[in-house]
Amino acid sequence: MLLLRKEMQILKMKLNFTNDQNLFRQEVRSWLETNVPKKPLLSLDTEEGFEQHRHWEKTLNEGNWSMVTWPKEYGGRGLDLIEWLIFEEEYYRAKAPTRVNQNGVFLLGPTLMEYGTDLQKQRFLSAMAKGEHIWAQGWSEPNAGSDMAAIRSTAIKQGDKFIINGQKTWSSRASFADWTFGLFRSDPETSRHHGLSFILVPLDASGITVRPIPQLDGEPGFAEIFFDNVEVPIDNLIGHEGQGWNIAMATAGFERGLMLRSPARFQETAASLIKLASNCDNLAPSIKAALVDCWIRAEAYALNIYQTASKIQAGKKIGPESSLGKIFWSNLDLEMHAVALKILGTQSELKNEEAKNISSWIKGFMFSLAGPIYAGTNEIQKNIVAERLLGLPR
Amino acid sequence: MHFTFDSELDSFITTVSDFIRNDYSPQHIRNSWKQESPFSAEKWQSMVGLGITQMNLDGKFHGMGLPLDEASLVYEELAYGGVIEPIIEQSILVNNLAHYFPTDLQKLISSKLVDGFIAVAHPLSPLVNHLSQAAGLLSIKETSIVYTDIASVSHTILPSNDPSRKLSRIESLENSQVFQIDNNLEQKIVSSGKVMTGIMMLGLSRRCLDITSEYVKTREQFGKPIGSFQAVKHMLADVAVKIEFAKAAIYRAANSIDTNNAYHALHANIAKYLAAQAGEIAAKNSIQAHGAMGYTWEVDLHIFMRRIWAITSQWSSAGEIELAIDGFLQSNLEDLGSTFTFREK
Repeated sequence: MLLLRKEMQILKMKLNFTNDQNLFRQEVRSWLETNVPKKPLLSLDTEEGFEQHRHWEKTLNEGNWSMVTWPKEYGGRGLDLIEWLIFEEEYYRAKAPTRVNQNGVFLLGPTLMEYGTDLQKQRFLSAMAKGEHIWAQGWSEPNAGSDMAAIRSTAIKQGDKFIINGQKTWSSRASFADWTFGLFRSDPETSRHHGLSFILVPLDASGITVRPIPQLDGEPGFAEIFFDNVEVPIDNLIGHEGQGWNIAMATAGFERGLMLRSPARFQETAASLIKLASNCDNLAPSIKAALVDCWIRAEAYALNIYQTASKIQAGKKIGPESSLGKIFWSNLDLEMHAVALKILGTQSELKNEEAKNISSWIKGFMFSLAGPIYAGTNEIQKNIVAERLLGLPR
Repeated sequence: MHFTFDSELDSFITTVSDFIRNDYSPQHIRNSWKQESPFSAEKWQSMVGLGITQMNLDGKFHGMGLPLDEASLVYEELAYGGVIEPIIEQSILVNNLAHYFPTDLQKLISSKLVDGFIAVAHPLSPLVNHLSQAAGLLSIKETSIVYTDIASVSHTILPSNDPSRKLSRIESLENSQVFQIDNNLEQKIVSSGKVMTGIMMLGLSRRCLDITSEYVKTREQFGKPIGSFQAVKHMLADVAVKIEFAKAAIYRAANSIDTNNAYHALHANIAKYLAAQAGEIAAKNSIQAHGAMGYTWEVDLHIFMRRIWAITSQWSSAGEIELAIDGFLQSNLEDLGSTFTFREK
């Protein structure tokens, strides 16, 4: 009954890196050692810090490290997902700056490659890679949060232009960004996910007002964008009119999927947390147990993502499974920071710039609280898991 | 780096799933409970016929020599079915490691590897399941393996909360043969026990989740299926998350045992820890979603839930694993972080 192994031609599981992959790691490591700024940059949610981070995007691009997963024809390195994970491991290990153009490089970039015209690719991809265009997201509206299909902002075609009216909110990076991409209702007669179009809008266009929203840390990491008869050429439409929802879902898929949060980020946090704890005497057993739990979960996430990357490379498609990952990493990140604050005790509230190793935890804690909310709340993700993976009724 | 299975294994997994569905129903398990011993020689032979015992067995014993990481998918299906006979134990604890055993011991047991059942006892898993059905017992302690024919093992049967399990406490051994082993082999047996328990947890957790998903689709309250309520959806999604994030850790630990990875003990601890958590929440949320029906003997859920509770602390409890990993982390402070996962010693 059992097939003989030699007939099965099984490609054995192999859980170590090839020589080429190790060489690649060395290449990344040595470039980062030379180029990562010795002095940490200011927060990217301040005007000065934003420009420092824009400059870092340029530096990355000069080394051809700014969009490593993009195909070579678009100026990338055409790395496969395993190489990308290696790159990320080195990136976080080197404590390199946060990517101010994450929205562009990881979300809009792949969307343009799939749905954009040749002209749009020429116009936007290279400028994005060099940090000349920093992109903000334009999905949510005051009445379209978890229910994104309730979008009301309109883009009405008039000749060779769209006239845009309405309001976007929670637009990450919009306070200082150059462009936004988002969904607008191009057919006002439609409702829900019909009649939406995916349009690119320059944030310096006439009729746009950007109102920065201070976040929990006091800095304007996101903003509201008001559109008052903003004119945008029809060349800025991605795909076809009315196709916006499907394109946005593809983009959101990139976001929830492994491109948004590579495991390295959480593994580095877990390692810092354990080091932080190692400086304390008399840790309560409950804290020790929580540390072990966090470290194991960070490992579990890494293992899962390597497996997912291997599956994708073997030609399998990843669908609603990406919701499982989003729930997992966001809860882990929150837990790690919460444990750190318990370890720091009375020190945990300090915002002292001189004691960054302390103050980074409270800042990180506040940011980690956003994880279960952004990119689709965890409650929405759980609905997706229950309905699409477990087959529960809507 | 190739962290995935070849789809050619799928057909064999389907064969095993079909066997579970057609020949290993919950009704069969309930009927077995009424027997003097729930162990069925007939089912054992059917599974041997499928090639289960040959899967991991080295070629020198005319086995298929399939790596444990791939075979774990098959064992997971058997665990999903709630199989009573200890064929997963035989395959993972004995057959997969038999080629590492001392040569004289290999000679002694080789005739029993395919058809027979050889039980294993270890201080981390001292109560032996279905010992009366075994041909012999391997008692492992530090640097020795003691082999005893079943006729020379004196043991006391202890009732388990899971009627599928028939546990024995070993009282004394006679006419035993003692074989010296190195510490590596003992460590490998311990890791295998942890990974084995983890694989069982995955299968059982999936079964609880499937049973519960079906139940909430059909059970109606307030005029609609209870599975349409978010409170219920979210409970089951939480289970799906825990199961998903235990899987890769199990496959990696299985791979580490087979490839002599220097960190196999750590990997097995991680895997078992995650799988035990998945089992815990699978049982807890499944009974909750069933409401009072989940608290009954008549709903099949308890067959699998009981097994989860029974085996979760085999080969180390969660607390013991926490202590071991805490110790590991404290002595490897400089090596943790993003490049740790696939590090080679």
